[in-house]
Amino acid sequence: MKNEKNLLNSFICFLLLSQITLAQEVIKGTNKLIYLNEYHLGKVKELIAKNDAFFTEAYGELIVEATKELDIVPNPVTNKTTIPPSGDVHDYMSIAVYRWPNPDTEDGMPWIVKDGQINPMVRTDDLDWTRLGKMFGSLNKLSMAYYFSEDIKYANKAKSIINTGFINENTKVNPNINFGQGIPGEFLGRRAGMIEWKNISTVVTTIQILDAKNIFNDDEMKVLNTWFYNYYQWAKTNKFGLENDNGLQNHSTCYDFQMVGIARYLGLNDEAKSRLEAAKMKRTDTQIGPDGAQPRELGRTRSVHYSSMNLKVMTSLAEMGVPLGVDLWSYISPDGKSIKNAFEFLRPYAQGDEKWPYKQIGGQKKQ
Amino acid sequence: MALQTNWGPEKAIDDEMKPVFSMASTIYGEPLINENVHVYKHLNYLQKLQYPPLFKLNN
Repeated sequence: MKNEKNLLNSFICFLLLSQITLAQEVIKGTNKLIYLNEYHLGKVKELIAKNDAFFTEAYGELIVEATKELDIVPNPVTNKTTIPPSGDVHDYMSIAVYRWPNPDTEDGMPWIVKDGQINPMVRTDDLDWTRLGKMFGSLNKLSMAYYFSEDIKYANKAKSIINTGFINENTKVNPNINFGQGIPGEFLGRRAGMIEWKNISTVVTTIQILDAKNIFNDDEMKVLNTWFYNYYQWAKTNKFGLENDNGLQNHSTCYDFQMVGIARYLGLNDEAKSRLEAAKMKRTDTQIGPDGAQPRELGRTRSVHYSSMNLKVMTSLAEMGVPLGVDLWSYISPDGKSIKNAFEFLRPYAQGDEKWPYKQIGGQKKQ
Repeated sequence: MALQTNWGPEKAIDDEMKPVFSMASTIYGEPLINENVHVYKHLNYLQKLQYPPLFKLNN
């Protein structure tokens, strides 16, 4: 019986790896970046070579910042001092950013909401939010520095970060966010935790840029592809993923942003396409009013931030729809809701024609 | 420790909203905002490189 079970497990494993290898071959065939536009990047590279002042200045800044990254030691989730409820330090763990201990009770329970005000406790190295955010930022700089300069030192550094975060058995993060944005005394994790991995897009882009130059070997690519497959399956089927899928504000848009990109990375283009088609009704229709307002984002204490961020992600989704033949940009609901309308709504404020009438509390400086 | 600042909506509009207009104009290939507003001035170095402003692409 045990042998039969082992045989079945091996067979399932074989099928899984075959599917991923197949998916990767499909991607290799097109070799198109998923989250960035290669035509735009290529044009910029061309203009840098022609010493265009606008881009050479930006490129100079990029090289300065990416060079600083070369000396930074990777900081994996296994470095955190707080052990997740699972007992596995490889599990990502964070606390809800806008929740604070109750000042009116001795033990601080129950925690209270201060929308838009980030609790400094969540930024410490005891948890993973800042750590992951820094990793995504580092990869964004290093992958771009490598793309534009073709200097291998940036690729090697990016590779070492990805190795630490996703390949090395001793340091890699588990492919789940079961303990993201927890609230002490209330929730071990919540659906909101998934938004903290929105910029996993930078990992996908880095892998694509490096893989195009064969900087990862086949074994490394298999491990990475398996990681992404497992994360995708978790995100598609677990409670938090389903809640985000059926949600009504920016968290759901950001969920689509991850899911569409990773599906494409895995070669699951039909799934990516279906999700984008569904976004017409599940995101545009439910999040944008006929006047172009995004009422759920306008209701926040940082309404400029949330309205802008949500629209930015919707724009990215529309861009990702183009190669799959899904036109989110031109979509207009029967009652006039559209992404274009959302820009129309914000335009007078961006142009300075009108004063922003909604709440936007001050930003926060780290001390 | 995080300190609350007095930054108001104007700063958030400059830092966050204007770059989204620039990025979307680039992606869709059409200006979504009066070009005299010069939204590209509010882009950081990565935004300039990843979503080059439309007027630079059309040059």
